[in-house]
Amino acid sequence: MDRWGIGIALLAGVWLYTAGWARARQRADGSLATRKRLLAYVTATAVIAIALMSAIDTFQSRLFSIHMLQHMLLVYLAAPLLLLSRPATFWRQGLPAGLRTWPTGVREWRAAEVLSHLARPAVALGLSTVILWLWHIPTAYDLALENDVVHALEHLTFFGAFLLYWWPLIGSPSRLTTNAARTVYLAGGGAQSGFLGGIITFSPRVLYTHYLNAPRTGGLSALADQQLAGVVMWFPGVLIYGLAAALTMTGE
Amino acid sequence: MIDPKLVFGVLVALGLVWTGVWGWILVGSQQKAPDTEVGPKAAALRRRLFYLFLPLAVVIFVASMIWLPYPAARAGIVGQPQLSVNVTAQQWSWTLGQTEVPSRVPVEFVVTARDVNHSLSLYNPQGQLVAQVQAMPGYTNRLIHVFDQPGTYTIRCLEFCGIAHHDMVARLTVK
Amino acid sequence: MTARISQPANGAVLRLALVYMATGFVVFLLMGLLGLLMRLDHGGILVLSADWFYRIMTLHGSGMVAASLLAAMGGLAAVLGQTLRLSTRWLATAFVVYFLGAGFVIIATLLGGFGGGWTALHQLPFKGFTWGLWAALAMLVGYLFVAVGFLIYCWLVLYTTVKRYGGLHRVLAWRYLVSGGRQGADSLPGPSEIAASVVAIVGTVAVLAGAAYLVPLFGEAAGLVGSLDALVAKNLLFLFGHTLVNLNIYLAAGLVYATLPLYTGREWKTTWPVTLALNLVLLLVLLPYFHHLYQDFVQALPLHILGQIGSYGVALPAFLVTIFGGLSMIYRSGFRWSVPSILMVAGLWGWTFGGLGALLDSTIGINQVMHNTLWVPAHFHTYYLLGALAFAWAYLYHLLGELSGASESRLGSLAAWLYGIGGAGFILTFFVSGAASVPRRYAVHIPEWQVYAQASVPFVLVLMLGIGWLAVAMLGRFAQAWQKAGA
Repeated sequence: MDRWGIGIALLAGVWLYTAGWARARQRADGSLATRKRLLAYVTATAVIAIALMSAIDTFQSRLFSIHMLQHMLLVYLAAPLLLLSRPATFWRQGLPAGLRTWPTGVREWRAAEVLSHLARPAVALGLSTVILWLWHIPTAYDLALENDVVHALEHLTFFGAFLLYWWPLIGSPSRLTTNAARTVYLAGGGAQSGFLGGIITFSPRVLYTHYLNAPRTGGLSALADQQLAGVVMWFPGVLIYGLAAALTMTGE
Repeated sequence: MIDPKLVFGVLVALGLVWTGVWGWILVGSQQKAPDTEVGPKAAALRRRLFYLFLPLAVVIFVASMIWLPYPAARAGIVGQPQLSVNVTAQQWSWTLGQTEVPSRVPVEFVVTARDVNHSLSLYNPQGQLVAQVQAMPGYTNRLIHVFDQPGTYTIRCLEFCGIAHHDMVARLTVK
Repeated sequence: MTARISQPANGAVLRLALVYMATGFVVFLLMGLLGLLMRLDHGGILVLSADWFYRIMTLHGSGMVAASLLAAMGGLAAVLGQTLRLSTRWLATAFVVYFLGAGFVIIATLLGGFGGGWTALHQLPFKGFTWGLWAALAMLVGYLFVAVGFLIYCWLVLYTTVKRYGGLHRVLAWRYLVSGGRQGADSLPGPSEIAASVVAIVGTVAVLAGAAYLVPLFGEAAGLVGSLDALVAKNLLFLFGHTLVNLNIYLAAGLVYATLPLYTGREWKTTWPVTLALNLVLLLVLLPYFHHLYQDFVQALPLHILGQIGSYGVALPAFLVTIFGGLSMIYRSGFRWSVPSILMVAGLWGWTFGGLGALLDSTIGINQVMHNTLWVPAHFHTYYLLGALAFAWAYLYHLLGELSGASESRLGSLAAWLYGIGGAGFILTFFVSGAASVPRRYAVHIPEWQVYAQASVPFVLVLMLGIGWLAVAMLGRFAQAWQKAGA
């Protein structure tokens, strides 16, 4: 992946967001522009940068466990943090005056409607699960590892899928309004991702030929590396769902 | 020393008494009497039962001490062991110091394990469990037992130890 | 005339309680099928490989324990929610953490091959040979999550009751107790509230023991510390495990305190005997765990004795107050027969019968010839099936019926009796097996033993018939009950 391109895009994003955030803060209704949101955005950016531009990116093609770590950072840290920071609101505010009202009309209205359907909890959970599992099918996963364009698509759709998953929970307006609903949503999400992680951990043979043929790194056999990758997805992943419960449940 | 079938008999006897009481309550539940009538009678009965059960429990408790299997207690009843048999348990086999022991004298089993917890259990020729002791890694347990009946005894592992736990069998000849 | 539930203060609590109980029930059904497989294997009817038997055995044990506890936790939350302001935030969080922990266990056994028994006694998790290190670690992590989930629940209960009554001493009614009932009678907590608080306190201790067991094991796996001492490991594990399963029936008793009155038309008040009994339980219930170590002769003798004292001792308050109290409440009450009341009555029978078996086995001399035979599963299957679970399903059925407004049916009562009879026959075959010295945790039964398992199968089928009908009935009421709960 083109690190320069990513770096520039991230920087532009931070610039835009911060400008919009500052502008919003000065206004009478600047209550949205909290320090927490700014921190969330900056942290999300940093996490993406680390995931896609650091040594993690260098080694992800050699070690499945590192590749998994990369994905985990994107979907379990960056995505929810980004959602919390309400980027769309502040990006728009950060644009030059003339462009601020630019995307109007039928197109935006349609997009909002589609997004609204997608953000329904059942749809979000179902769709994000399907996307997650489809990409882990050996043919698909191997293809992404061999082809940069497909790999970019993979990361974008993973990221998008989990933006979708976290949306009903922490996006605004929040679609999960009762603790009972959040319970079922998080239990379901955690169960399916844990299950996939478990399958990878306990698979008796190497699933992805790319890693079978990759040069041995860190003294790990391909199978041991795969087990580690499964564990990286499984253990911390499930922990995140548990933490999300503690953090998103409200006092009813 | 204790016959499991006798224990079962006690359970059945007590169980029948209990079931009778329980059934009697259920039958008696169909009629109606005010709580002001039943309550005090129940409280009085409860008090009586307490003064019955508590001393009974103490008596049974103290009496049961005669059956303590621990080496000091057991030796106190049957006498010091005349023979010592080393037993080492491991996944999934037994190593016995000897496979033949005399009957009617106290025999001591010195038991340990190499890897995980196992349990030395002695089954008499009729297939009844007569004694057991845990085999623990890093520890030695001593079991004193008097074989009152000669024949071929079966040693089974009685503490779950993995996939061949049920196959961990050995034979002991009691002369 | 249907028995009425007092209007819950919080519909959100009710809904979460339904999530808890429904999940518990579904897992119970699935684990029950695994149990049937085990009995069929024992009977030589459907022979499994040893590997699969032990994996199923491990999952059945841990799954049933988890499901049963979860159902009782949920039910009691609904009961407490009637009189206390319970925070659903933490009730929900506890569920998610607990549920995900259970997931670890399922995956570790079914996919990872872990077959080290639900007790996962050190060092077996690391010396299984048929499963890898990650399977063992997944199992232990799962236990950690479940323990944390349970701990959150315990602290939620304790926080709520202490806040409401102004101090732990008030929750446990110590002034009332010590003064022989003469003082402090005005603001007494209800029996369910006291029972829940007792469980919460003891539960915290149990979880701490569990943590003290699990953390060194993780350290050992990471190569940071040496192997945990075998005797210490056993003590910590059984303090954690035994206490956890024992607490289940006290949680479920809390359900009986709240529900039996509705079928007898009498109140279960906090009286002096109730207060004494629950405080005695608090004092005694940590002691019985030593009875798991009677055959570890190297353990200090006083601890063995303490185990027998505790095991005998805790039976007194349980029988003389809860069971006796239930029976005297039923006597001459014009008792209304329906599914919940039949199940509760079956539970009172089972708790006592299982208790008799337990008292016998907790006598050290008898334990010598019964420990690790099927006598042990006999007594705890009785405590569960015809005890804690009977109480839990009684409450669930009652709650669903209340909320959905469904009417009682004769067929339902028959199903409940089938549950009781099938259950009783089933556990009796276990006791018979124990008397015949059949070992527990054996994947293969020799021909002489197979007949006992074969004899259990008809009873299991009767049990399944009863459970099946109840399951269908409850499923039919669920949607409406869910709706009404939120209203």
